Amino acid sequence: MNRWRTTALALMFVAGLTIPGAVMAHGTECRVVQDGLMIEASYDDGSPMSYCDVSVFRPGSPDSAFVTGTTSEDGRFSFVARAEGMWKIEVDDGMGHLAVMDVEVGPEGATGGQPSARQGRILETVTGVSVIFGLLGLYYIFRRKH
Amino acid sequence: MRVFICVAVLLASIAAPVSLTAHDHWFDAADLYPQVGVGINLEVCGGHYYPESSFAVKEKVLGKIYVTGPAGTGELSTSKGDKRHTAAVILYSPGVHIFRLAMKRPGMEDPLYELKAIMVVGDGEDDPDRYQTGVGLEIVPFAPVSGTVPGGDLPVHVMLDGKPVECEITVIPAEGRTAHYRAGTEEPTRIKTGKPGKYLVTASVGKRGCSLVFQVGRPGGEK
Repeated sequence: MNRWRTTALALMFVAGLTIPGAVMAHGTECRVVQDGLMIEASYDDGSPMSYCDVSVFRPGSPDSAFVTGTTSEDGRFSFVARAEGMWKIEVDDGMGHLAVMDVEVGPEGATGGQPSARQGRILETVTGVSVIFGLLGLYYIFRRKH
Repeated sequence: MRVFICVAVLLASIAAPVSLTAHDHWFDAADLYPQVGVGINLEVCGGHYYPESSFAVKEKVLGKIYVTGPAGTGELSTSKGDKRHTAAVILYSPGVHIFRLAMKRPGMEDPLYELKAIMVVGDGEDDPDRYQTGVGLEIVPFAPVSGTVPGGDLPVHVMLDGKPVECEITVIPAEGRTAHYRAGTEEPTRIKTGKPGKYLVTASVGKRGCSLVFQVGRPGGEK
């Protein structure tokens, strides 16, 4: 009888040690998935927007960020876009530069993205075209006077 | 044809300043020659159009402002506004005070932008030997800024961790035209001044930028 009692107590003791651990602990696992959308943000000179704040907005929710984070050293950030529609991504360097991108996500995934606030490049183009027009105009005025 | 040219020139004048210059960051204060014991608002400004500040950088980028004077080095706390951060400071020691601030995003090793301002307090000596911090990227004058007369020049070096480096220097007066120079490692670059007032000097080496603000002409004349 004593042997049974000792065995039962030992079993209860072991169970008391192990059961709470088994119930309360959480196993963790990492795996690589071929899913998601990766963006790459850079400045006009091609240098990456490293360690910048990223805000991702779902289609139809322009005021509340769906996910936020930070770009990597090479200016990259990835997330999974579950809903179809136009997603908006903002990359803010905190020093006055903001890159904004709209990405159309369809049944097959992202079908294209276009920068919606890449002002530097647009303005450079406008400047170049304007300078050419200006020089042409000056040339014609000069020619007309002579 | 004239309308055509006018439109082109207008477009160019709007676009050129924005597309051809990067954001600058600088310190600003009402007077860089304050009296002893007088409250000063030191502002951290940013934008394209010195001296007008266009935005305040995020707090996580801002870093700490250090002031080094005859009494030692201290830290300043700032408050964020719409277009600038402001630090209220009172300086009790006459002489040269150097304000400096390194901006960088969390995760980065090197600062992105380093700001510096030279303030000469009261009747204290304006000693140029006190201008160099020896830390990071900085613009170092080699003559007393308070002795720079309008129209005169100021010799400067751009230095990285205490050693002169080659780079472009841009000088933007609060009133007047922007000028560009090429800084070398041998002789200091002599930057020309014009009207009395504050001057912003900027330089960049790789991805790092820096600025220096100094003032030509003390309000009320020489001390």
